Amino acid sequence: MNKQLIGSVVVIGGGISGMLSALDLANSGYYVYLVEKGPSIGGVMAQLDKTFPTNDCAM
Amino acid sequence: MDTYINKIRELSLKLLKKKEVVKVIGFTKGTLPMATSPIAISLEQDVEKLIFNSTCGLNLANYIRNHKGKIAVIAKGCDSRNIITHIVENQIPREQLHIIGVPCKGMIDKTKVASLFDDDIIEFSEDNDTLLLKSSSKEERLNKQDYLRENCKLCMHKNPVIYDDLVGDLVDEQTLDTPYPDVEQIENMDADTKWQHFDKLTKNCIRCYACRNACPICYCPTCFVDESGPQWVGKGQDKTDVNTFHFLRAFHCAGRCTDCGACVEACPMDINVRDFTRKLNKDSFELFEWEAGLDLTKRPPLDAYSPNDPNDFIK
Amino acid sequence: MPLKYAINPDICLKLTKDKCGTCEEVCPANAIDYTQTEEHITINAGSIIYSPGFTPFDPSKFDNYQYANFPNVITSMEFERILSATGPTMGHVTTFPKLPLNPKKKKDKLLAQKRKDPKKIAWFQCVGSRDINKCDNPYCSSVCCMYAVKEAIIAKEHAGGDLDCSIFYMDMRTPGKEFEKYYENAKDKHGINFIRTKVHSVTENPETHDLNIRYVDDFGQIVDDTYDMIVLSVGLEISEETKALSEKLGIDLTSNGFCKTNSFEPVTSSRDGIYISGVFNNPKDIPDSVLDASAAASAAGDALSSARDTLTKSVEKIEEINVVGERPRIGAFICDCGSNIKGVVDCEAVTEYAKTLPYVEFADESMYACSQDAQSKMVDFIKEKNLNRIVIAACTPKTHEPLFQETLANSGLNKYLFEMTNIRNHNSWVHKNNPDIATQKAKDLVRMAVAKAALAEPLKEEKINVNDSVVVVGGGLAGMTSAKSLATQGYSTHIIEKNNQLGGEAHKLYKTAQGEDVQTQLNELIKEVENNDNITVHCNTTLESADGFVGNFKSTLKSDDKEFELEYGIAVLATGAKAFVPDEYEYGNDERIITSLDLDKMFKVNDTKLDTINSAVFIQCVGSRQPDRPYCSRVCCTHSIDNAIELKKRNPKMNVFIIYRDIRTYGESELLYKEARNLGVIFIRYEVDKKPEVTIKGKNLFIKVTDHVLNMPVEIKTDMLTLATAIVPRKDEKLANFFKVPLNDEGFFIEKHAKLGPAEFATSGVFLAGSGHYPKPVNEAITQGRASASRALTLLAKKDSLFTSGIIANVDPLKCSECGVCVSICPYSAPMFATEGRFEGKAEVNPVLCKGCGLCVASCRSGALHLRGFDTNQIFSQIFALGEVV
Repeated sequence: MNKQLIGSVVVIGGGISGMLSALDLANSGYYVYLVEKGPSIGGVMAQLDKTFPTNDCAM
Repeated sequence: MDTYINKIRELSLKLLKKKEVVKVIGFTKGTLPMATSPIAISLEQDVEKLIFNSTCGLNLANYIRNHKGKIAVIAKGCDSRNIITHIVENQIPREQLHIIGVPCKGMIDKTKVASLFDDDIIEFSEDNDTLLLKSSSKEERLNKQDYLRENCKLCMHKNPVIYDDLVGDLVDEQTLDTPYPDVEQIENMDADTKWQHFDKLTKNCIRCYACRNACPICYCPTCFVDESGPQWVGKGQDKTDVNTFHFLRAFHCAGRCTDCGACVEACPMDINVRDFTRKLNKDSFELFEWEAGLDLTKRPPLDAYSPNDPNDFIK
Repeated sequence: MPLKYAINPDICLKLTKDKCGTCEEVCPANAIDYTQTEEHITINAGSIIYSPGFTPFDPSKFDNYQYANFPNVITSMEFERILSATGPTMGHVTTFPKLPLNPKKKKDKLLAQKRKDPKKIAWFQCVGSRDINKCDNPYCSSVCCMYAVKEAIIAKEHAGGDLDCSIFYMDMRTPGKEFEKYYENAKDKHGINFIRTKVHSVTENPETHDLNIRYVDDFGQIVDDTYDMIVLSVGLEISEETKALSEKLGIDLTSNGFCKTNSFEPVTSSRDGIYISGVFNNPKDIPDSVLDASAAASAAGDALSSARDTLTKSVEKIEEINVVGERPRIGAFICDCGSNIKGVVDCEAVTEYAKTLPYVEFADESMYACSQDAQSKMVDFIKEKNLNRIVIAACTPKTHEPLFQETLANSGLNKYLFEMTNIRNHNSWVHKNNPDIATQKAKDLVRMAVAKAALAEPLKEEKINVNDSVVVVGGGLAGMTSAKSLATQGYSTHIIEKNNQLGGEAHKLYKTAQGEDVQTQLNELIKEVENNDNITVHCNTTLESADGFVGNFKSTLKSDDKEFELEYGIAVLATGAKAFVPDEYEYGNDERIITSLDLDKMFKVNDTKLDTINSAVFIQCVGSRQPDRPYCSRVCCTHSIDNAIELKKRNPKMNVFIIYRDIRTYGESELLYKEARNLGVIFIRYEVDKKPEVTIKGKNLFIKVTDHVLNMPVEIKTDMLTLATAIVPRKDEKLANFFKVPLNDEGFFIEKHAKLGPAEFATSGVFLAGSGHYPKPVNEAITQGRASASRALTLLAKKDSLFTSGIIANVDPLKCSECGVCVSICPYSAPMFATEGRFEGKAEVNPVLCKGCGLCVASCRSGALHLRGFDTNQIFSQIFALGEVV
């Protein structure tokens, strides 16, 4: 049986990883639903000050 | 010097006769004693016009661009280095050049010689290391070594670096422990003295651009001082504009200047323009182990991008 | 700390008692809507990516550290906010950080008086990690060592030189790229103290609230010390909520709540169609999460490849109006950014001033220029007033330029007829206390922007034709994985492998850290790759050249003695790394002295010699973490421990010793370390300046090492010595030059961005996977293989809409002196000499290769090069406009 595939993906979690998965998929031709339980995306990385080892600003 | 002249004429005649080159670029006698001027010879009978002596201080590399057909050029050590710079910078292909190399014994400082006389010099000749000068009031016999130009005194590349023929045996090169004593002297000045030094240096500049025109590496179709859109620098005698011209020109020469002295030779106001360019030559030497015009395969350090640049800022 | 404000419905008076309603009144953007309620939406989708993240461990339950009771004991997450300029103390490191800046309660006020700038801060590592005594988290959280070092360095930067920072740790785990150097710098350059001990408990001076600690140092001495603040480096935990949802989704978890995966499909959950990424997959840092993200996208996409492009929507394009030759008619839009700008700058005055400037036809102030309605109003104004240049005075172009440019495009204007000036970050934020000067500066900035915009010209973006076949250099695990994913999504892919078979270094491995047999799965993968119609495998083949640029590469390949050419659009560099050949510990002088890979080989063939061994020793960090090779090779600790367990399982009576410096079994590999200790493997630590000594005395092999517990030399007689050798990069400078990609000091490839671009290069169209990036185990190599494929796919999918930037250099041939500086100085080989036409010999710039960096423009002595969009006359006009007196 050839099941009809649906060309969309649900991404659960809007942290750095979820956001980038969503972007990659949307840019490669899939419709994406990004689901985040909080009021904004960004996750823990948005709360960090700088990142190692480059000391770049996390935002 | 006569042997040099004979050899230059002999080689030039041969090249023109065999049609190996369409013209020969060399020096000819000027209208005044101690003056020589560049000349391009294309007829066999004109080779007699070619001369060479201790007053041929201009740089013939300045005249080798934009010719059709193969040309021959007379080249002292510094001329040959600028020829290399020209080849590297795509101004002329090597195949288009026949280089008649002249092992150089130094050029004389005409201003210094002239200052010995109150009236005009009417005759100049030389015999090995002796200069003979005559004015209507007196005669002087001078030791050439005492009247060499400053750049020639410090020259470490008297022999042509690249040539097809030589007009005489190679001369001994000197090696100097401190090749930049003049720059060091300026570097050691405190800020105020330095400021005064350069203030005084350019005070007499009349913006005639003779230095730029004599410089072989100032070959841009439109020099930044002549450009009006954008106007990089004001056209008048304002001190800032005058200094901007000299500073920027020096920076354009960084890593390319061979210290041939043509700029100083050409300056009607006796400004030692080399004070600007020499500092950058010293920096090129110390930071990049670079002297301009010695290598046909390498570009000047400031002209090239390298991912392995030793400077930290590039990473 | 959410980036947007939200109403807590349990507390809101309006929602609970229908009172108040203040927020609706004061919100200038009318963003408050009390009528919103919970909605249930059903979504039909082809795949799910589950990326629920982690929660920081809550140390409240640890009575020995008194986090809940001592105000100066805080968590690393709290410290992170204290360091942040947008945090509660605005980046100022202070004691009692959790108190409000201006406390209202009397008790808090008294405390606040005791506030001081700390002089001594301690970090306690492994709080909620590697701990089954006080909590149930036996795993290592992977990130805490590095973030503690970072926090200490930044704290010192914020507080100045005399802040004393000490990190109390068990093992320093810095096994990531450039991490070891960061750690070394922290010690040597920043003067951070590292103390190897676990502090038992913290007490507080009730008066000053200073914190007293007591610990046993490396020499067994008891030390008492006092600190102003203690930061608990809390671990990463999977929340109960996530575990519950996982159960609902029907995916298998490890005993610690992380998702169970196979090393060869590291982002695939046990449930078909559900892919996972991030910390939920295993504790990991940002770049590894970023790799997971792309890898999960690749896996989810692979499963749906036949339905690609069926549900996406395309944007309608608006015809561009030709404004060339028209007199500039500038529209200036001044943004209040709520009170962000208007709170300081008199925006009305700036708007009025803008109207007086030359060429300005129209000026308008808006509360939020970036809001939806302000954008549509802007489109109307552009059309109504026939504007042909736009100036926006608002925030930073870094975040908002694309948005405004889209608005221009929507009104039919070329998007480069636009200038943005930052009157927020560069003005209202930094001149808060000087509103008059700030207003004046805003006017200056607007005047400069107008002067530049008046000279703006419409710029053309060149279309890039993309050849959609891919070359993967290197047929190891990472390369094969990348090729497989790209082929599955329909792209013709070539694998260039210099050896005579696919598989690379993985052929030498016995087991993964999860215990899977490598050879079985490797051979399956090789078979899949070889049987894929979209993949062409070129074994015994080397890459001899590479020219071109994204979408248009051309290479000469050499196979045996035959040369052939290949044209392709995308390159993936997966050239891997190799094992270091030891030059110490008597390696090569005795057949009982072997490397980790030699031991794997013995396991693979079930060598009978293994049965004769009664004592085995492993020496760690052979060739790693020393001055000439300062990085950590990442995999060796886990590898040796895994092999030690294998030996112990074969012969429980065998004496197995691991001589190490720090055990770096990050993530759930920590469980192997625990298992090894339970099985009786003996761990002896050494310092790099006191390496173990190996001697061969007749038939016997002796290893002498100073035991760190006894502080005495011990001599071990052994039958086998395994050296855990470094992984060294291939340092392929030729390949790096072909694709204009950089190598770091050690010879690993440098990725586009250490955090956000780990699977790609700065050179467009070139991607990176595997140990050529940094040493990594099987699952991480495969993750990066998939991630590189996903990143490449985003480019390939845009095949028909790939354009260059309009901001590129161009040559005025009449001024060009043909000196070739631009040709030699360009890092991207964009300028070249014209080979034909009227301007033969003059320089010209290939718009596809040009990145608009301006290096050639600045280097051109003849003034022949111009940077479109930043032309010299535009810069001059800005400078002159600045000098004008208002």
